[in-house]
Amino acid sequence: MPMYTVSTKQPLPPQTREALAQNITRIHCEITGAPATFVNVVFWTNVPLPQGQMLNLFGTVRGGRSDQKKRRLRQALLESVAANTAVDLGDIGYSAFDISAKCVMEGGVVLPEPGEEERWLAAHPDV
Amino acid sequence: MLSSTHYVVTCLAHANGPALDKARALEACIRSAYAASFGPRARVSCVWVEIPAGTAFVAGQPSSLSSVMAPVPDDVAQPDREAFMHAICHGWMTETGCNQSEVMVVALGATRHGAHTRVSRERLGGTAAFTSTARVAMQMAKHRLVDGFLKTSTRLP
Repeated sequence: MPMYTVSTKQPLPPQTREALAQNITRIHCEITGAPATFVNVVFWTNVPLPQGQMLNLFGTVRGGRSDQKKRRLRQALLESVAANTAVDLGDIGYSAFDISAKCVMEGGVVLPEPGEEERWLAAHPDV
Repeated sequence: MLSSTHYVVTCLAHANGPALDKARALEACIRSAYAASFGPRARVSCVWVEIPAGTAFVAGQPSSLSSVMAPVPDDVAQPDREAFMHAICHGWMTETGCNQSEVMVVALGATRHGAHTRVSRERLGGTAAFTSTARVAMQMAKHRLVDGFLKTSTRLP
């Protein structure tokens, strides 16, 4: 977690998917401080998007971050997606859903709350 | 009564990976985890979503991670939630031979889980969403008849 879902009607080329996944990961980590190994990106295709949308980015993320940080994240992600896919910024839908870290288990352990990653990684070096 | 609640579990798993080959055994593990944690009358349905190769990434690299979205009662105590998630992780590793970093379990309270599902579905729009949903339902029913479990794909039909 986070899990970013990228939805399009037509499949994106493999190189675009890879570049987009790397950029989403980088941006999420830079802004939130989360380790890259937490960041999942999955691409869905043939999705009937709402009128006016060419691409939709839906993030399921750990809650507990400030609204300011969420706004920065949203803006940076949208700009990166637009740059990677050549889709106009206005044609990209975005939504995010906060979930509590205590509800997620990865690597056999419950995830840390935002800001506690360093201590958590030290305690779980194999994850 | 909590014990008669119907839980719909969504499992994302990779095409040609071990999880889909073991889907029926994994469903049995998931049902067992629900019964152990929330009572034998808990009703559980599993929906499988196949991830085609090259369409999932972790840390920007191709991923082999399976994810399980398994709702739990809203008032579940955290130790019980963790025991439930551990049971699914353990069953998944036992059946598929994967390591613990290849499975993620998300156990939201049922109300929060429902809200997540609604927000996720909001990315679908227009009349095409209705026909798409119908096609997904037909695809899942077909797989149920052929393979014995409900399955669709991140590449929607």
